[in-house]
Amino acid sequence: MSIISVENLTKSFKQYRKEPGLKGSLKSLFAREYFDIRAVDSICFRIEEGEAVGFIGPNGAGKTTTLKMLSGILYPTSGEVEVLGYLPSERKKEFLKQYALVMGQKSQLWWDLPPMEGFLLNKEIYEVEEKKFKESVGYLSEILGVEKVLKIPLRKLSLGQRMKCELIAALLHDPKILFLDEPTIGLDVVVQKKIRAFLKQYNIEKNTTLILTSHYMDDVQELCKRIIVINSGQIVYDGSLRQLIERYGKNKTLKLVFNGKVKKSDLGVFGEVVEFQKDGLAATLSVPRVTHAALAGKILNTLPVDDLDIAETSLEDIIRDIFENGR
Amino acid sequence: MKRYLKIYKLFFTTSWQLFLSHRFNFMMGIVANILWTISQLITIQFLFFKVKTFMDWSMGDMILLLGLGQVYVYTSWLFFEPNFNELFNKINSGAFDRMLTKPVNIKFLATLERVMVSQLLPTVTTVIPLIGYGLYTRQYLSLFDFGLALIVCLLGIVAMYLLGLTLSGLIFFFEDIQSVRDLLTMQITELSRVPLSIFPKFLQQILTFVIPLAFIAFYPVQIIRNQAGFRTVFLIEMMMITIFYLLSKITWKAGLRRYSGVG
Repeated sequence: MSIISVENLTKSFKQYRKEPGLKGSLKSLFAREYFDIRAVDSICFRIEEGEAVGFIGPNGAGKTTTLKMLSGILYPTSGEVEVLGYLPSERKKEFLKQYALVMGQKSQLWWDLPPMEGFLLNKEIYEVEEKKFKESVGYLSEILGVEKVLKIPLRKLSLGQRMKCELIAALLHDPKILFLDEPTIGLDVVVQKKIRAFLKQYNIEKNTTLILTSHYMDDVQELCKRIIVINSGQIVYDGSLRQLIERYGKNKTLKLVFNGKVKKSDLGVFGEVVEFQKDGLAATLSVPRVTHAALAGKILNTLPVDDLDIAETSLEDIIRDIFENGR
Repeated sequence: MKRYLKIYKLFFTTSWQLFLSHRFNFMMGIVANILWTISQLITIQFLFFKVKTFMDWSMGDMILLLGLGQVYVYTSWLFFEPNFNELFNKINSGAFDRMLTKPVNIKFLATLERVMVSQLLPTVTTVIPLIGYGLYTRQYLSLFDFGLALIVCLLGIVAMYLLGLTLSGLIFFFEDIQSVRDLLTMQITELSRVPLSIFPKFLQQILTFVIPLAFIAFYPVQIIRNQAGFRTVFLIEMMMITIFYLLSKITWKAGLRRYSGVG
């Protein structure tokens, strides 16, 4: 059964233009030129319980606006959206108690106070029982490795520790859906990895539905089996990660290291030269997926190859290609 | 209700903790408040230097009026003014998004989250002496009338809060509504420290039926002076509270529909 159902969801924002300078400011004081922007344009999708879905798109694509409509922060301009059987925009208490929203760039904890104070407030707001509260804080802080910092003012903690505490604050009430808006933004790779591992484990253990937006493809690849690609407010792809790579990743990448100098023109006959080292000792080729094995064989026979690595086109490249070429 | 009281208790204790980390501001705030009160007292004394009454108001009545006016100033800053002032920033910084995801009344969370506990001590150091002195100078004092006056004053504060709430709801429509709210709920409070009867009739009506400032100090003092009946004042006040409550519901409901967030 779908836990989230979205039909023709649209969100428009009214904005105005202002000419630069004082003259423009004075003009806009009396006559503003308004226009509509369609941040989300008639999107449709369904999400099942326990799924982990990644929303991918460039800045301004409509990912966060969609997330905000799903969580009841924004009213849709038109279309239908149902989450856990509720209309999010009605903001019913029973609905709000069943999800959590973690925003990587916006904290819900107090800057000058220890995280535990924020947890206590959430305990009251979400009506979490004392026993359950202690269990959850104990379990989550242990698994995230922040037991020792819960009583230290937030401003004294590292960005990674703060993000982990944000996650604890968000999960205290055992939400059925966890909306994650750029949860690893600004974090170093080690912390990113730890947070991803935690979210993956949490998703499996609790069967919590994860809806993730991120610019880091590693987040999406590690956490989500399904991805929804949004561009200019419209869904351009909705399906499994594997299918996306098969459909759009029509090429494979051959990374070559030579034990003798090779000319760029020698490589051009096999495929597109993506990278070429000036000394002629290394290169990267993009070759058609269907013929990559035969081409690799030919290269091995004709060129002085020392090392060959065959890889799928990276998700980042596929996504960039979709955005740039509008496929 | 019990849940909201528990949450408010946490707002209060958290605000105390935040405040204790900024002691210097607190001490300077008290000094500034005491200096302000002394300057007001000197002004009143100067006014009564050559006359015994001012439009039928004695010096004690004027000080009582000043004291009750200060009750509003301090309680509003204690409970809701800092929140109203921050609302615009919360919307612009995206912090309001987070509030909208919480399963509590959004108006409660957005306008009462921060308690400015630093206003507690000035309330004691300035309001109590002013009201105490004003009452002390009266030849006859009925404690019952004083109790009724306090009820009118406190309900007046509720009415002013609801007016502020109504205007705050307009922030979703007009980005620069803050200045209008400041004018109506803060700058104009200066008028609560002078008897309403000195103003022209139309201004008296505005300060009663549009901006219910007269209920904070003027009518309570009039009740103590036996110049106004509690029942009539109370009924008008309750009517104003009902109207502002309904208006605040309307502006917030419509405002939230219009809310576009940031980013």
